[in-house]
Amino acid sequence: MAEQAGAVPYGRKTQHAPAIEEVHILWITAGLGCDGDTVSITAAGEPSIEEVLLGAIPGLPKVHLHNPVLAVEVGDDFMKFFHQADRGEIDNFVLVLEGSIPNEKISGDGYWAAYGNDPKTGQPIRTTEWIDRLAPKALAVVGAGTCATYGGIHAMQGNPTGCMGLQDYLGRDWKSKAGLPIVNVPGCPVQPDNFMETLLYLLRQLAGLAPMIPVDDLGRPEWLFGMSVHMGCDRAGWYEQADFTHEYGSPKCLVKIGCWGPAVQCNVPKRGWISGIGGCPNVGGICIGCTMPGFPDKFMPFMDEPPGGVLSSGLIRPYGALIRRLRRLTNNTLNKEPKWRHNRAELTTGYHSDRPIPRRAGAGA
Amino acid sequence: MATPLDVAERSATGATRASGNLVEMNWDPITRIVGSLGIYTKIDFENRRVAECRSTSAIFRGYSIFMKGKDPRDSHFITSRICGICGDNHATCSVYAQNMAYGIKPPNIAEWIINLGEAAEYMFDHNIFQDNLVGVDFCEQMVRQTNPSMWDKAQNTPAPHAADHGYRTIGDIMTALNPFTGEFYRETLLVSRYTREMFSLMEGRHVHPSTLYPGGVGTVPSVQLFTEYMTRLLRYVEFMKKSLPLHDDLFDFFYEALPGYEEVGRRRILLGCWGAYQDPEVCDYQYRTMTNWGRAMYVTPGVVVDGKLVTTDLVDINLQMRILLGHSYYDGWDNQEIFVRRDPLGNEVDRKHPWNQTTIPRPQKRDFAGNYSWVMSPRWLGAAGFGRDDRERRQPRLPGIIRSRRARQGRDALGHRGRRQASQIPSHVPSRRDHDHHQGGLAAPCRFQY
Repeated sequence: MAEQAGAVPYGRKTQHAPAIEEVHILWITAGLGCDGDTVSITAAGEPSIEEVLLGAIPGLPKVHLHNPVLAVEVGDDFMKFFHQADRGEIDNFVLVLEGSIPNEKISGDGYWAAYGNDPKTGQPIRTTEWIDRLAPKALAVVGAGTCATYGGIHAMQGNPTGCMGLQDYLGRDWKSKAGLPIVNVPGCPVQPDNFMETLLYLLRQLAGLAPMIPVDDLGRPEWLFGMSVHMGCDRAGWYEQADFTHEYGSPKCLVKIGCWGPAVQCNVPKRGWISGIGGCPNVGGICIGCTMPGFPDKFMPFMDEPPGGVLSSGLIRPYGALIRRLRRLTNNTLNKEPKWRHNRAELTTGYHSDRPIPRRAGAGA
Repeated sequence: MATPLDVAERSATGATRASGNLVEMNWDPITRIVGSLGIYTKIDFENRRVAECRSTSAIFRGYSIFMKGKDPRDSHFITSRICGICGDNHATCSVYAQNMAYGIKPPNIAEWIINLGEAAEYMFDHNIFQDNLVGVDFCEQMVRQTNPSMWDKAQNTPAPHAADHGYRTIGDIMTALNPFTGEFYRETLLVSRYTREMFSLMEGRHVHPSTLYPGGVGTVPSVQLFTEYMTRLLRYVEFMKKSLPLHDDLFDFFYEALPGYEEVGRRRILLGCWGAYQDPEVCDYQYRTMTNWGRAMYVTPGVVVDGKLVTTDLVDINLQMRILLGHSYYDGWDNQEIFVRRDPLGNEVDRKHPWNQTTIPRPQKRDFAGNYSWVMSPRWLGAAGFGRDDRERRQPRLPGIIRSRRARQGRDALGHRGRRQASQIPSHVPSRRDHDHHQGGLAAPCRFQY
């Protein structure tokens, strides 16, 4: 295949011709959601959407994106790609779902969420039916954002739609026809680069250039969600010194005013929100756990101190107080220049032309 | 597409003439818009007229249901999630409402940080809308396909402001707007990114901010913060010096090359604005002074009906809002609890005012002769000259747009939803995902925000 003319997309020279020449991304935004994940990925730069679509990254198959927020086509012209995939006319596609999946077993003749029309009946096609039709044919199924992955805001207690995430709907052990588990990139919305990087990994895997994507048992890419917010937070030093803020606008640790960072898996403080700028606790926003399966209910009321925080912040208080004092002492020393820097008519640096410089010249200063 | 309309049944309503010269044209979904929108029309090409038009939204979410009983301080974190483009506006509105409810006034610096965040949001919105969503309708790929003769003409039409933006012909501009491959499309995408950086400097993250709270912001107001914002803002100003003349050239060409194009979108002029950017020196978040601090906002509130400014009073604007069911999949709430009978100034609050809304979803088959959307119909009551005096008379009133149209058509009182003749009234609010999303309240279609 590598030798065939035209096998390499975009006519570029590359060391490896991809295992598949073309791949379609069928992106359904018709779960219960805000389209914020699609909008979010237009902010990505690592990689950017245009880099993936225009073949700027070597080794990828040619990518065709079908997303209602970004598509040129409208109405039936746009929906035709989804119908083609349903009829088995698109060989290679990745299904991306955005928005939570409602329970249509309780919606009678109607629907909570639908996408396009059934050409025979003229009635809307439920979003769940699209998942039923397309998931078995997809090379991979990806959840974009916390709604699609775990249900998110719309699956909050007291909701009328019985919403759920992809693993609840398809089953935790579900595998695509290519043998991939459900890949979940949570976040409300998804951090732009987290999603595009995961998509890039999948495209490289489908091209035969990367091993099976490493995900945890909740479908999350391990390299993105293996650490807590706290581990990447630039306020963690304040926590270590037990210096907590009780008001907004302070650079200190936010645990006392509702930050769940120490117990939440997310890389946003480390990666920033966009081009390294922004984030949550690192810039003064409490972590409300928006990447977690327990979001939002287990973090509410958001603005109260997490119950566990009372204990842990209490335990660290004596340690923090001691460490703070010791560091202040060291810091005072470090804020003084060595004594040999002066403008007097003598040299006190320890230099003598006839003997070597003492090994620790500054030790006695 | 097969017809979703049961013509026989609709004929029985008297709303449709059983006619062979109406052409059905439907677009569902409308793309390059946030939200789920479908448009269903019957077009009378002979008389160059859209005879019927219905808009539908296929998704329900239920914010007004699942937010009940939750800690009110959580509300801005939740309402932000209504929209994936303008989540920030919803969060900001919720913070304002909470400030009023709790009787608190944030420090001035917090108001300025919110104002700068909002400003960055508008810059982002404007650009991604103008070139990456709507702009595609004017790109080479689209125009070649839909109007080849215009494309030929565009290639031979010099761009009057070529010296400002660098594109020699109108055709060059169109090519530059092609999705992803177009140079200007990509440049604007980059602009939409650094304006989102500006937003994230002030509010943490985009589209759902992390640093907004009732009573203030978590953002640390350092010198570096404002430097980083300012440098990007100045880059943006430079970009606008190219972007504005480019759009002028493009749209002027359309007006010239397509006679009648200026009629596209012409309709009854109904505009509403809540205002934007508080003046912290004036705003004290008291309801009784709201008229005053509303008018002190840097973008002032107001409602325009039939081209006339009818009020700039936030109290008026608020009290005259109504949520109607239109053709949506909900039960009415006439028998439900009334939460607010009078506002803090003693004005009567209508049962159909959003403060008194109870949401009762009822999923059902889509029926274009009956109910066909998850979107309710928010309206503003005031036709011209419709002020506080009228309100005090407590007359049950129908929204201006419906009333006047009905008057023109010589029909009698419009009942609640499901009434047959109502299906003919093209008074739907396109592009709103569900009834929760009605903070706008007016019937102004907004391609972008929802």
